[in-house]
Amino acid sequence: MAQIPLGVKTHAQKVCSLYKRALRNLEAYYDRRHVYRYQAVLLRERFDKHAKETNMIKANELLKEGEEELFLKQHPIPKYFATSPGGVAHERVVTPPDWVLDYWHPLEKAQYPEYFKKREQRKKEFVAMWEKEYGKPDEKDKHH
Amino acid sequence: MCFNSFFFLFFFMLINFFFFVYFIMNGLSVFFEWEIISFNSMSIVMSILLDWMSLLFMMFVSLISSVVIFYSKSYMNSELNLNRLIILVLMFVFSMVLLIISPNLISILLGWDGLGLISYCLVIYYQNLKSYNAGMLTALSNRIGDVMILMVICWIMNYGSWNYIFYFDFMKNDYVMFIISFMIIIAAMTKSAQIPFSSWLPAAMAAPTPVSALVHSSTLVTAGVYLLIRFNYLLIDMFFFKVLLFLSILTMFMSGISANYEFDLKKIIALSTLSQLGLMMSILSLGFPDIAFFHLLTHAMFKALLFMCAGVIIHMMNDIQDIRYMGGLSLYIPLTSLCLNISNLSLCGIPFLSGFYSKDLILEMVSFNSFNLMVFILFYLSTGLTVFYTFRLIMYVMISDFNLMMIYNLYDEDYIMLNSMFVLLFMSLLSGSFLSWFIFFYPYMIYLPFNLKLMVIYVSILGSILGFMVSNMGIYSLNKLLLSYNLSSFLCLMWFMPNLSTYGLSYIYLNFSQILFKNIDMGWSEIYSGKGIFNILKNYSVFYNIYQMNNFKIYLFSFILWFMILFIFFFI
Amino acid sequence: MFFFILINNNSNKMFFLFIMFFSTLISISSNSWFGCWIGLEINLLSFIPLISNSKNLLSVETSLKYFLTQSLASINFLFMILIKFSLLKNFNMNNIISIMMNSSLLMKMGSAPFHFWFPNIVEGLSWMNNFMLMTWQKISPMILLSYYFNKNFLIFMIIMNLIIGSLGGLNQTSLRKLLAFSSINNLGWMIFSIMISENLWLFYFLIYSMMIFMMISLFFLMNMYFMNQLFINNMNFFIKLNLLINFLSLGGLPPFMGFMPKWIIIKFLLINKFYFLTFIFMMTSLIIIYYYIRIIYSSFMFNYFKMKWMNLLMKNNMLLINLSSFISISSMILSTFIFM
Repeated sequence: MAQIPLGVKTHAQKVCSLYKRALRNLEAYYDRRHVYRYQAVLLRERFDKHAKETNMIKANELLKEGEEELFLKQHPIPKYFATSPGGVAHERVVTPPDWVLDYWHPLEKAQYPEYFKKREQRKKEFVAMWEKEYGKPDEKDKHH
Repeated sequence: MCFNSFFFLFFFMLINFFFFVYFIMNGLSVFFEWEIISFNSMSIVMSILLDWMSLLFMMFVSLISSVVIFYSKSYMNSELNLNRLIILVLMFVFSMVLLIISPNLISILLGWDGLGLISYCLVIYYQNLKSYNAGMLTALSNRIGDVMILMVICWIMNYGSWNYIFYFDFMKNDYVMFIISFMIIIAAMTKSAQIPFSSWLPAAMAAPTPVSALVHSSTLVTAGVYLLIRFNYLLIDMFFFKVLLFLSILTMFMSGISANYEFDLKKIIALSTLSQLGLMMSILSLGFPDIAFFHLLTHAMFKALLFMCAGVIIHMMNDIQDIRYMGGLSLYIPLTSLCLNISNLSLCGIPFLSGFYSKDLILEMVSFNSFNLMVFILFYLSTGLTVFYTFRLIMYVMISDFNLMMIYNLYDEDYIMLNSMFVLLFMSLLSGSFLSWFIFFYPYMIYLPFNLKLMVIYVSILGSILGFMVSNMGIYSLNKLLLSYNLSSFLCLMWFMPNLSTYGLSYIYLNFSQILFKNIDMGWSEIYSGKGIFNILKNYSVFYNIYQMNNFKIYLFSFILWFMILFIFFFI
Repeated sequence: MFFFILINNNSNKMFFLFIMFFSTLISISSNSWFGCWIGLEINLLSFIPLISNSKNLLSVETSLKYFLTQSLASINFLFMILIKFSLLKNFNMNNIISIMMNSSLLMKMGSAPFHFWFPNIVEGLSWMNNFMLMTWQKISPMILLSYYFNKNFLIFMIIMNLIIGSLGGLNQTSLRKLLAFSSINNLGWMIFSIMISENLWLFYFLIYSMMIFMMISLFFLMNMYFMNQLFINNMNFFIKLNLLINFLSLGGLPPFMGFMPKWIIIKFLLINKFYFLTFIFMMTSLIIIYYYIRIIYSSFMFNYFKMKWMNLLMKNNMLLINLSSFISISSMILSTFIFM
């Protein structure tokens, strides 16, 4: 199980991820928008200085130092929106998935006749749309 | 459901008010005793004590809870199971009332345990991971206090009954009372979140805001203080009060500092509650129970108001509680910001609002009586810190630019919430003076030099200036938190004490239990009792079967051999 | 047993059955040792025709083995009687002659250390004959044992019985041999009880034989001789329940009937201060319960073994089975009402 790599990221992706996280970190420290904008420009200048680096060894070293610096300077109370994973209201309301509706009792379904009349048709249309875009599924995948 | 319970509690509050005035004017105090079962020499008796303190407290509790229930009709109107919340709040109020009116330890235990349990149910009301963790922390911290009260019940059986109010005066030097006082102090410390147990109060902010307004501002956390006020005659010369003084002023100081670094609105208010609780505990441990009670009541008023305003703001910010997203709200929601400002200023002790009467009285009593330098410094420093974080909060929330998004919907026309806040606003303005006229029959005699008298004003002005300066951010300003990162994160995360009571405790025991499980359960006890004995028996059985599968002749021959041996023995 | 002899229309077997009953009565109610020996001989002679069936070679061989061991034991018994009469004029119990008499009687019963014939023979008999062998044939040697025994020798024999009965059964898969070893174990309990009082032994013996009857009749109806036949999972629920209750009752678990005699014997053990012996009784009882439960757990757990090839349809004889379950469960409690 440990030998299957979960995803291979390119160097550019890692640098972009570092940049984004550093920006969010700056947002936590500098609340006012104009101050933040100034500091963000400074940060961008720091990143742009080494943007055209072709020596991969040095580039990886720079990336590692950058991660280290971000870790040492991360804000103890980062700024999250309420419904995002670190925030306060995360997972407060849980919407049931769509297939739950298929398991309703017929008496319950009879309370919304219009919707359930259209529902089967919409399901067929959805399958048709999927197959038009991605093609039919393989014969091997149909049976477990 | 909301309306019914609101009216019921409001009516209850009026009854309590009427009786309070009657009782305190005539110096009455009523003790009901109801014998439930009496059998030979054992009897189960339910007793109720109604004196002015319990009636006053009940009045305040029912006022705040009625206003909160009315408020939550609008705040939680998108909640499917609102009736559940209302029922839980009503049960909470019931347990609190039981705690307030009880002169014996068993009904205090019923109220205390009920408070702990229902506050757990209320904290986990939103069922996400944060609420779960917060609820665990709340319930387990409160549980320590419950255990302490259970042990007090055991120890006080030495005296014959559980009515503690009869035993104070003439049992003071007894060893049993020593133990009882120790445990009562620890129980009050867990409930009111003093230093070793203070990590649950900021975490319990995962509860819905009306619940926080009721529970974590005025009722649950003051239950500990109330218990100590009732037990005050017992504890007043004991050594433990000095320990309590030390811990409570440290609590006051620590939470004041942490509130300065905190960016979550409800957590700032929670830490300010913690700071005021430390203030109440410390003035109690200095020997002034009535001032502590006074501060408890006025604090309940403006803190509940503050939570409700925070609830309105959170609603508008689309559930965001981070103050870095807020700003300039005084322009958009003037009435709410009116309530917010008045309660904040009352918290600071601005003259002639309600908080001024209690807080100023406390500080003057501290200066007037001679206590040591550390007490003095920490009191005034904490007062200054209170003003500091209050002004910082006002700067972030009210004055500055709005920081969320370009599109906003800040509306102030939610009259249900506003009306409930106005009731508390009225009380928060007037309750200081009103209570000081009622409770203190004669004013305290305080005679201070000029500068010492103005010390409060000095630290307040200093705190406000610092609060203003800290929250100003210009383009070229460098964030000081970055420069002193280690110190800042230490002070910001409550001196790392929550880590002690959550990660520290569970890690040690889980590690130890892994060692035990691997070595004993899956190790030695298998070889000595589980599979080991089975192997031994199986080997014996195999060995026996080798004997059993034999020639028939050998059996008969062995029998004959046995007899021959016996024969020989017979004839020797 | 009666029914099957009647049904088979075999009046010879009925005749021998009656003689067997009477022979036991002769041997226990005689006032001379000769009479005892006569009874034992007639018992042997009348039991042999019951178990031999000339069509089956195995049962002939079994009856021959039975004859050899029992006659050897009877000869020794007679010899020891004569020596006792001629050489020992007095009647003191604990001496070597009593050891010798006891060992011959123990061999007749099938108790350790002379028990090696017992599992062999039990393997060759049908269920009903086993029932006779395990219950009725033990009566007269037991009672004769109580007339003249050596206490130390018998205690040692009890310990050997218990240990061999428990350890020997661990490695068996044949149901008959399992019940044989459990019978050897129960012999230990019975020998102790007969050292205390004959009444106590009678109580233990009756309950033991009732439990064995229920077990054996159940196995007889299902025609099961081996343990792997028990994994038929479409047994009716009540049959499984009955199996469970009876085995646990035989093992001596409390609310069932089999607990009561063991309880009373433990009480007597403790009164007479046989503490170490109590410990051995307990521990071997535990081992016995282990292999009982091993027999029946496949029938009452949720996840059990299921054979793919031997699925027979079970009809149940509801009356007998329900009655026996009811008796096993409730008799201990009901007896407190009766004997209050």
